[in-house]
Amino acid sequence: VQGKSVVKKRRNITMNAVNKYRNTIMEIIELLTLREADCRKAASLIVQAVENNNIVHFFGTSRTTGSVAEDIFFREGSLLCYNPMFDPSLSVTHSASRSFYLDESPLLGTFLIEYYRNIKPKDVLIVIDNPGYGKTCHEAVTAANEKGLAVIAITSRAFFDDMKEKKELSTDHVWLGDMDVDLVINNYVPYGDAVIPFDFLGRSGGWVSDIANRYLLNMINLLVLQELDSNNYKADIFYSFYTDEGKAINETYIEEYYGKIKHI
Amino acid sequence: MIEFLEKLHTYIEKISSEEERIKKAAEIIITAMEKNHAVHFWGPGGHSSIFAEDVLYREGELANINPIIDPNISLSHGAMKEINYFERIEGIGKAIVRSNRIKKEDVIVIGSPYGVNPVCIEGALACKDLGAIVIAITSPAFSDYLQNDETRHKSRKSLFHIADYYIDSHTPEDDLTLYSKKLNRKYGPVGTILQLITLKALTTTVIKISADREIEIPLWMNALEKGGVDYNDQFMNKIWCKVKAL
Repeated sequence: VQGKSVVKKRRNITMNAVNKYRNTIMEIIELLTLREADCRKAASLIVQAVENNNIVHFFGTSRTTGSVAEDIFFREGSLLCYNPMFDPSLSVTHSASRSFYLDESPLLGTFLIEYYRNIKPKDVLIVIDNPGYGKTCHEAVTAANEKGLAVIAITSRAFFDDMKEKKELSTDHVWLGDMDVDLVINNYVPYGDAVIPFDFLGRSGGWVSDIANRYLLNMINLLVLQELDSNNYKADIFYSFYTDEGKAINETYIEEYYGKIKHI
Repeated sequence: MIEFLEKLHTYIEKISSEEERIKKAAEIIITAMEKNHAVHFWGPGGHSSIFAEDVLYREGELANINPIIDPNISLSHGAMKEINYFERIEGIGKAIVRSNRIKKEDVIVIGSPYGVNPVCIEGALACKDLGAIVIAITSPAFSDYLQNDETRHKSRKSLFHIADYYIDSHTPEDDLTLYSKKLNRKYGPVGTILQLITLKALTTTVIKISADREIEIPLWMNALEKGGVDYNDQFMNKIWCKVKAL
């Protein structure tokens, strides 16, 4: 989807904010579900990595996507070889304003890819960034390419294009999806992320990016599990943490992966 | 001489009397290293956590150890939160030990001048249960002085009771070195400094004995100097994922 946001702000519809929000979310989920073919390609790249003992890294490169990688980590149905890349600089937990000021800082992406010593050639890196113009996501892709990783970008073309149209980005800015990546998955996050405007307040609320990104990651993970299942490949996958049997097996996994996954 | 420095000298002199205990602890650490067992350093308390930070990734320090830094049990995620609340919560000490995969015959050097809080005591007991060797750097005088039940582990044990070996940092019983008549207050806390000096006496003894015996011992180079990062990479690539604080 090029140019304008597919998901419009619902200014003229006489519904309450919650109903409007629900309808917008449903609309985005429908659009994302239509990207199943892309998610299937992502899943195949991941399965290939898993079967070759490679690791899959998840990197949300801004304050609004920094926490997304937490969603796929350390829970039933999540693969042990999923390596989330967390950094306080990129989340609001260690000062929201600082993470905002770092939006266009150089070297953060380059250094973080270098910092994670468990990144190896032929691993997969999933970079998640809504507008996809920031230095961190760009540097992450460049550094990953240099290291020989397969790169999947989850980002929004419409968000980026609308920012350019509104002259909030210069003509030099490049969209994450136009970089040298193996696969781009559109997350359909509209310009600004908040989709329900309030005329008098002059502000919008109702953010969609977390739901969109987490839905996409779940789709990808489900397709990974499906492909592994049909390949009869017994990958290491977390059991439930709520059963004694699951806890016992997970404990052996933690021991095995302690030296492979930084945040386990 | 500034009064505080004068006082400090007297305490450092007292640490010198710990030479035999320091050498004994160093031998235990060297033996563990030779057998490829992990050696951990942990300061389970607010200011005590600086203990582990001080040996973490710095020039001339051991590059084959696991300094344990837990954000909840440090000042970095809220000093008042840690001191008034978190170091008194049952379960955290054990969780930190479990999550650092401490194993039988590992050595853990636990540094806490007062050595009585629930996280410290529970953590030390958990290490012992796992079969690890516990070396404490602590001050029995300070431990005995603190009798507030709210701040002590329910067993009312102190770190020096539990540890297999301990070295006395000679921190005074109330941590303070000076007195002002005008304020009618004592001041000049010294526990962190004395704990660190004792710690440095231990790690340098480990390095010296190893070097004298021609035992290979990895030491970090200054990462700020040219070539430092590349030199350190030889150790970093081996331990980065296991030493979570790196």
